[in-house]
Amino acid sequence: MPLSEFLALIEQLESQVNTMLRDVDTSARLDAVKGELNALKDERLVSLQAGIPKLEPQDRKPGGIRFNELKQNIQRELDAFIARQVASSGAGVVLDLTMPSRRSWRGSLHPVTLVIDEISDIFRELGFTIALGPEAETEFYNFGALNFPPDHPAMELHDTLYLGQDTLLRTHTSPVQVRTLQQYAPPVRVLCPGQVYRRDFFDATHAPAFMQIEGLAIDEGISFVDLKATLSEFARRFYGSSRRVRFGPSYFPFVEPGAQMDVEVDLNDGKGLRWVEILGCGMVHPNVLEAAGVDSEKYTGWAFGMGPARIAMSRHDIPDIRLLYDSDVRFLEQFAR
Amino acid sequence: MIVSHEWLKQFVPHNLSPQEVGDLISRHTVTLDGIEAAGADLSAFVVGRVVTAAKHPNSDRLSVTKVDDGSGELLDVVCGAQNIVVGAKYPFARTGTLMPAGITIEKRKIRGETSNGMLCSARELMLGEDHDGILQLHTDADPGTPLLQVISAGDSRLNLDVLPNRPDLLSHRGVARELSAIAGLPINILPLEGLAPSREEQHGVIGGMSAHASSTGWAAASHKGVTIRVEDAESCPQYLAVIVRGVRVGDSPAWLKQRIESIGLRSISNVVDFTNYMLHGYGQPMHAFDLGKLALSSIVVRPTRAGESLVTLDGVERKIETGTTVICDGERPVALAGVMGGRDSEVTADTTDLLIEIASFAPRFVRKVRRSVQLSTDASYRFERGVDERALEEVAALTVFMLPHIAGGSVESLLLVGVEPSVAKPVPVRTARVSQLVGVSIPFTECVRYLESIGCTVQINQFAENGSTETTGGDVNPVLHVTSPSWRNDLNLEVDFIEEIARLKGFDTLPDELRATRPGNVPDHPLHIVGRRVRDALVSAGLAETRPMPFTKTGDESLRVRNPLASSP
Repeated sequence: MPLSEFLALIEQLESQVNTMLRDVDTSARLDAVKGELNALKDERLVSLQAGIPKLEPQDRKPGGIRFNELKQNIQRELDAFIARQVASSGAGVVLDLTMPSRRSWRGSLHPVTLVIDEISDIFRELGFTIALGPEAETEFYNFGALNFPPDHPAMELHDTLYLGQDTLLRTHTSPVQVRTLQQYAPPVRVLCPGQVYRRDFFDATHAPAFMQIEGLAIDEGISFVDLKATLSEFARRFYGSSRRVRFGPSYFPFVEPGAQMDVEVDLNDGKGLRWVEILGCGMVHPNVLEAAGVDSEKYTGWAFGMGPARIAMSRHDIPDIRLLYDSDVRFLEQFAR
Repeated sequence: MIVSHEWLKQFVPHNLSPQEVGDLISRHTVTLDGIEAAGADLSAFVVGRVVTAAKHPNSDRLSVTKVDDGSGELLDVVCGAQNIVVGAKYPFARTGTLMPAGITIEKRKIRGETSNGMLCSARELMLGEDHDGILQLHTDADPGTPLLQVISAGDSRLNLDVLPNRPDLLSHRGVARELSAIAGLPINILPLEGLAPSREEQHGVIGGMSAHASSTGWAAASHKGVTIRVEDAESCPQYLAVIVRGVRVGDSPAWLKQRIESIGLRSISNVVDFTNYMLHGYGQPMHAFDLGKLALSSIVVRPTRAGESLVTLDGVERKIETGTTVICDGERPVALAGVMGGRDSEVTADTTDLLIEIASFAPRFVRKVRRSVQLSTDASYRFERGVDERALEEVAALTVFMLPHIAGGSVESLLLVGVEPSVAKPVPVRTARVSQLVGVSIPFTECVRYLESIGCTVQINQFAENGSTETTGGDVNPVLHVTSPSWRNDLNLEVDFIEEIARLKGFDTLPDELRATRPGNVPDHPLHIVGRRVRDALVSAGLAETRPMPFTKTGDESLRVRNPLASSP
């Protein structure tokens, strides 16, 4: 195409756009105007632009410059039209309904919080309230009152971070159980969620600080059958009523008999249903009741503890525990509801 | 704890599969972490039938056979065995099969004749030492059937998660006792691995050794120039030494090698393997000293002195902290008590005379030593949790009998220093309390049965004057006076025995029955209520909740952790 013909086409399109934008009434809807303009652009402007490389080499520069002028002129005429529209409207404000809306942020709770809330809601239905306690504890509340024999390998199951000679970062939320029993007389039915600390490296499966949730039920005549029935009921409500549940022996110094509850779950790894340990539990050791000032002949009870982070990870296929601590909004906002 | 299924069977003969044993144990005893195959993987081998056999044209010792491996095509296979029977079936390795020794069978020419696989001997499959010829299979199975469907080959390892309350389960005999109790099977507490004791030896093994000890004493014993002295009885309540002269250190017999390898250990020598066999079989850590390298032929157990050090078996020189206990010969330290022996007195190929240490060390002393040298071993792990002190003499008796069979030589003497271990006192267990705590009524006869199955002795005090018999609803609920066996140092309180009854009965047998409860006295913690409201308000405003790691770099305002794993300036 010779340059003169190309420039003539530009001239033609320019006058057409100018006529359109100058003649249109300021009461016209902006979106309608923009629509027409876009149709013109799609039809003509695109094919003009495609014509530039087809010009003779020495014509390409002047042709390109003229083409850019055309584009700027169109934008200028559009801005002028909008300015006339603003001026003609009494308020001096015009609503551009076509403008993309500002991104709305949906707030989100942390996935571990969601699990804790869900567990708490189920136990609330079963008559439990929420108890809290300090994260910096004494050796007495963290170990001594919980029947940890002094200088015993059981202590090594809890690698401890110390703040002072006798003060430490609690390694479990069980101290809250002792503090609650010291403050309130039975019957006691409480749930204790909270952060706990272990002297552990921070890697894909370990964290030196993580959430734990424990429960405690103390009254006259409470038995292992109560433990088994309540925790089985919890498992059915949490995992679904068709899930199978089983109890096997385990060991924690502060309970006896000590047990663990396994639930048959599908971990979405293609291997189907399999038994997974969900929580540790047992009948509260009489030494623990006595240390908290409760008559262990008159009162009995049970306790359990579980890790909501692990549940959140298997529920959402989270491969690395560190993601839970990352404060990365792209991760967190996936849990918005 | 790694348990070999076959080893376990030596103590409790049974027909249960490894999975069945594992299920029973995880239901009643401890968590089963997994089961894995021990030894060679024979899953690729098949049954092969020899259809024809002819002498190799270029060799007098080899044969050329045609083998039916079930593929529909007869394969030419060259075989060196002299016991080939036409029509008989043998283990067959097709080309591409990885042999237990690590070689892959390939199609190749042997003296000009092509061979497409291998007929195997028992030794090639690591099923035994028999290398006289290929292993004939007496089976109706068709050629091509996987070998493992035909022979019960291969052992399994059960990995048990033994927690600190059950040190008795840190040996095969301990697990066998438990299996015997929960499966109702009889136990053979001293299996002799096919070794036949003479009448004299039988007397020694069965009659216990204390009567046969050459020398005993509270603090020292000596015999024929060998002396044992314990200066620190608190950390070492008992020290037994078996003196064996004229041993030949060498390879272990096949059965011993198999036991050691079945739990994933490396066979070292007959003497060392035997001490490991006793540790993993009976839970008693033992150490073999080369008697010839012990100054003054003596062992002294004493508190450490300032500035002492020892090069341990692993070749590391370790400083010994004061306030712990050390085993010395007449001059210098030779072992870290309950943790590891020293290199200078180690048993080597030239050793002829042994001093076998069979001792009990107090848990907290061993823990101190282990911490001070930062070295945890199979021995220290068991001593820290508690070793059955009453089993020492039995283990010594087994050593006296077995070691000469394994390593030759003869036992010269047995020296015994220390005090008789204390005996457990009976604990009253109210059967009414058992039913109350478990939540179902358990007849006292059933309680007695469970307790006796794990080795407790039970005395029923049915008509005691102090009213210890309770009757509720027509049930008789006597008080049981229960004495725990020496290997159960964890059974001391009534509730300890109640736990035993509950787990042996099985938590799964208890009803899943929600019963009436009273509401609790505790209101929600105010911080929880406020916290939840603040959190919900912020999330409604579009914020995302985070749970960051609370640890940061050290700052002036921050609370300092005294023992961080790592720290940044």
